[in-house]
Amino acid sequence: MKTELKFDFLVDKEKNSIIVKREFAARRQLVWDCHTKRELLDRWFAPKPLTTKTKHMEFREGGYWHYAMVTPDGQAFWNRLDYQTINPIDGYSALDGFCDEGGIINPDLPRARWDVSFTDVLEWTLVTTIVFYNSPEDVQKAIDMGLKDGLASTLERLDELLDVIGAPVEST
Amino acid sequence: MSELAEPFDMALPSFMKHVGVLEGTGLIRSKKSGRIRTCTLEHKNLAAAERWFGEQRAIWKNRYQNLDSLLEKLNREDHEN
Repeated sequence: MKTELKFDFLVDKEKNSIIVKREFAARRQLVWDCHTKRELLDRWFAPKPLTTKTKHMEFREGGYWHYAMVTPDGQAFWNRLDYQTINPIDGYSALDGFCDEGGIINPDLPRARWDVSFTDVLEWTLVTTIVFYNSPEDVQKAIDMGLKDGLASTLERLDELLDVIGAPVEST
Repeated sequence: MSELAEPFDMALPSFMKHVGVLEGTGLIRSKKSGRIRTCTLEHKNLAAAERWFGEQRAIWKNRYQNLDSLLEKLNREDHEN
């Protein structure tokens, strides 16, 4: 039996933030593990057809995850997530950022704060991710970066994603 | 500006604040000549913003579908052990 899993994607322009809500058919501890253990993150985080490659992971406050999303032809998009607060298995907050292979953050690009929370919905789990940018200018920089970096053009080759991109930015 | 604000149930200063936010994002441009301020829609930036939000949505949707498969696999392994 396939049950519809809740997926909401909302943009809050006033708060310069994106809110993503998604239900998963698994218990909270397992969903938490998938978000916080490198060997599990490597198995899902990058959207297809990209794959995830972790270079460094230290899941503690002050630690960071340094990873790449790699295209089938080997092009790597390096990112870094710096963990600020961690409350197992309720949630964590972190600062994202574009970086290079050495983990050096690009200071010219904006960093967004992620607030990720995990709640029980009966025997399932709801994950809410809020991505906050500091200002409308930072959102604009992220948009400009998105147009340049080519990550999206890799994704757009997928018909499935093309359909989604044509869809309105609201809950499904 | 007051003409633009008319259909909205909002005081002019509040409306100006919203316009300011939009201007900050580059979605609109405004120009003052004398006592009149005129707003122009920046179609190119607006399209880029829409596209980017759509792409972000696609990224999250796709990544979470991967997570569904992984969770299913892990749950199955769990039952087998």
